[in-house]
Amino acid sequence: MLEVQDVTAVYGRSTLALQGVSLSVPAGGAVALLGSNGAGKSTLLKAISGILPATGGSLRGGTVRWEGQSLKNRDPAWIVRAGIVQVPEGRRVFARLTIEENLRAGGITCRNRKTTAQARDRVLALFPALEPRLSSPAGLLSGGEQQMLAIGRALMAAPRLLMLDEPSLGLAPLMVRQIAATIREIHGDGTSVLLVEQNAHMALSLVDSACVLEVGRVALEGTARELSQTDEIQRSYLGHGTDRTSA
Amino acid sequence: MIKFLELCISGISLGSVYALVAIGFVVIFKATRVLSLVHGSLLLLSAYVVARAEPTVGFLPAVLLGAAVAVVGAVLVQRVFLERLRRRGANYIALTMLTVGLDIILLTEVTRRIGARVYGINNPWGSEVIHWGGFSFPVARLAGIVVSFSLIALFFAAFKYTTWGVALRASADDSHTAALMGIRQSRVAGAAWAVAGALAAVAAVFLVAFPAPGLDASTSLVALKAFPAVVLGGLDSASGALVGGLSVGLVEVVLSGYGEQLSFLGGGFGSVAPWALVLLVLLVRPSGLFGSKEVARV
Repeated sequence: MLEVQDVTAVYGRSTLALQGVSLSVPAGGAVALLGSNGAGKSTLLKAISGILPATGGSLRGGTVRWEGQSLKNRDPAWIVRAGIVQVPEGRRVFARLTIEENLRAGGITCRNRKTTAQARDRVLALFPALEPRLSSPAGLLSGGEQQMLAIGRALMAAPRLLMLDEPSLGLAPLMVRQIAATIREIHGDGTSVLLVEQNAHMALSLVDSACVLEVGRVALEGTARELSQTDEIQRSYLGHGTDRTSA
Repeated sequence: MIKFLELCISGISLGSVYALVAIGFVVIFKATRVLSLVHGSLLLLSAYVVARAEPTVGFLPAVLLGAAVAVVGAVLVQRVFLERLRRRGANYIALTMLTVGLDIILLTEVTRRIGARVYGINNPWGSEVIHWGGFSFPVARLAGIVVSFSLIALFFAAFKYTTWGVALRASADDSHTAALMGIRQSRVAGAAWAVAGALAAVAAVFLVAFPAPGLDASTSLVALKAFPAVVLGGLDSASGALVGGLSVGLVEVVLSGYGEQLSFLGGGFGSVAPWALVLLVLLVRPSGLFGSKEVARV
């Protein structure tokens, strides 16, 4: 399981992005991290996946542990091998590489051919739309297809914890529902999920528990059911706004 | 006509050697966004090693030794200087400037050792010349073409099909995301420097062996001629480096061959011609023939 405790992260010398954030994802569990732009959601994912230093940030305090081992100062490749893979915000497929090559890049840490072949079969079973286009450049895919590829690429490393950064961003509602169904399926296969979202409605339908970040702090946490009923979530994230109550 | 064809063969031969150096530039640029301006002195160093070792150990072992020195030198530059500074947050412009400094240091030392001497390298094909019909080609030129094109083909196959090739291209496309997939930037870069060093070493041998006059202190300037090849093709395109190298070689040799007829442009126009060609191409295509537009994305 993943345990984040009291984490403080900064960008540059002093810009605080996270202040004492704690969160845990149990083995096989699914947790959502909600919050508006700039709340620190992506920073937390980067702190876990180890690319925070490469993006100009650093972990100041607290601990990040995965199955008992500290992830602090580990390089991203080590963390991927340990079983944690992040799907970046905005999909970020390798546009000039083919779909096949994108999948290969995702499985690069895996040295075992048989495991790689199995992972590839699983990805193509989840996203049959990718199969006929394996040799075309990923840049030509639609937004939804790119999101599928980004998830598929991450699955090539056979993660035990999949972290997704706003997978619904910029997608049509139908596509959001499809992506949600896929995430549910991946979770159903036993992969733990840490889902960062602004679309609280979608996120809360997928996870067991969630926490809400506001300017770098945990403002609320609880089970998905509890949270979807709190006034604050309803008002700020589910669109059952003050307008209706005041009217 | 015979003269023209002979010039073309020798232009392609020289061009394919430029292409070897140019591909090295491009690979390093793709992997790290750094322009390796230390290439000229690495090339000179490996040529010097080949020239000194050849009389005692023979041609092929000397070439392998020269290539080994270039590879180790290139990887040292990457590991000891560039990678460390990159981790501390130096950007690629600072790192490019650093390679200029390293080039000056290395160049000074190697030229000091060479002094005023000119080293010849005895190669297996010697100074034989094939006569066929009215044509005559030095065998060394043909060997240059065959060896360079084989290496270039090998490189393109590796670039396209191997795991290293995929990792390199993924990392060139989006380095943060590549890191998220577990691709180690430092390893991709190290391998890129090693490949570039090896290609430069082979190029060095053909640049100093017959029919070239031999190795002297000015040999490093050849790397400067690979530079218009890179700019012409586009900084981040390997196939561009190939096309650029061949064009620069052809233009240089053919125009030098017709130097007398072109004397109204001033003497020695052939050696300036590659730069004139670069200017013309850049006027029409600012990113080179095959370069991508957004090369300097931060």
